Amino acid sequence: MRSFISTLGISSASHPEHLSNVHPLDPPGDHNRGQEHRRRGEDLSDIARRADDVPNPYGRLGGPAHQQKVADIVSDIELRNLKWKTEFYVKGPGVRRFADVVAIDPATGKVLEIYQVGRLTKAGDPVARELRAIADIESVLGTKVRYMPYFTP
Amino acid sequence: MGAQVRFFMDKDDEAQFAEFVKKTGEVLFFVDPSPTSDFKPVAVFPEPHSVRFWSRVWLLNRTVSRKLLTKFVPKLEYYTIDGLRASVIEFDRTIRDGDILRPGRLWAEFRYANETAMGWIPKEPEFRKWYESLARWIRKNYSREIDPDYYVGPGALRLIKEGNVQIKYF
Repeated sequence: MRSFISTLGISSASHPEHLSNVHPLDPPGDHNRGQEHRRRGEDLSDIARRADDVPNPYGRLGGPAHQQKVADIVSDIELRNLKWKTEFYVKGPGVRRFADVVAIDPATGKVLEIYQVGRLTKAGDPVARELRAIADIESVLGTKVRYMPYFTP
Repeated sequence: MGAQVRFFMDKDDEAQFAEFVKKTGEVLFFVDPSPTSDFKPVAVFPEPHSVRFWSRVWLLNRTVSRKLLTKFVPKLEYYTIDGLRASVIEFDRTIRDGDILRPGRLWAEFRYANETAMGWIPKEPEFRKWYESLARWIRKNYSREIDPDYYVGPGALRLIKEGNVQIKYF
């Protein structure tokens, strides 16, 4: 099982250093941070509490920690001058899945690398839901899926 | 969670779609990478293989948002558009590689993780509406007779039906 876990040396700690410059066209205060949740009278602890109630409360793309991991993988792909896609649709006989991230050859459009992001069990293996997704995606694409675990406090 | 529409277009389909997109506001097209963070828009979609990432065009509607966030890629010393955080729509073009046709897609993400990855920062509500208007145009004008999961433009449909190309998804 552990062979699923690929360590690419992606460091989330180094990621924010070269992240995002706001474009000169941006007006001040354009970010609307947390506006929606504030309007509903929620703060982050409410959201986190609600997230604990159901198995996958954030849907296909996952929660913020999941998406941050996706962003880290995207940055790593960009470092290697490849194209990336998130939520990459994988369709085959009896299979309908979305791979979290793929790296693509920009010249041919061929998928070179596939990444799934998810949690680990206490034993250090991918959770069962992700194992099924990995098996499905590998069966269609014929390429090994790299499993990238993320952790939430 | 993001949203996407998958499609096949030929050059004429693309041109027609681009014309529609331009009518939806003050829309600019961007292609990465750029040597500086001050991205210059392109007037038309680049010719295939004319630039490295020719097959992906970022759409920014300045009527909806002016939030064009970029990222520096230190090893390669260029900037790319931060497609996860910026209020941009990814127009990933259909790739024709000889007689192979690979699908493109329209994709957008409507929120992104904050600095601590403990909560979300939503994008503008108008951004989602704009994305929906473009997706709706594709759904309305394109056919799903080849594959129910993919919308095929009239030009691409002709190419496929005449046997000039074969579809390959990956």
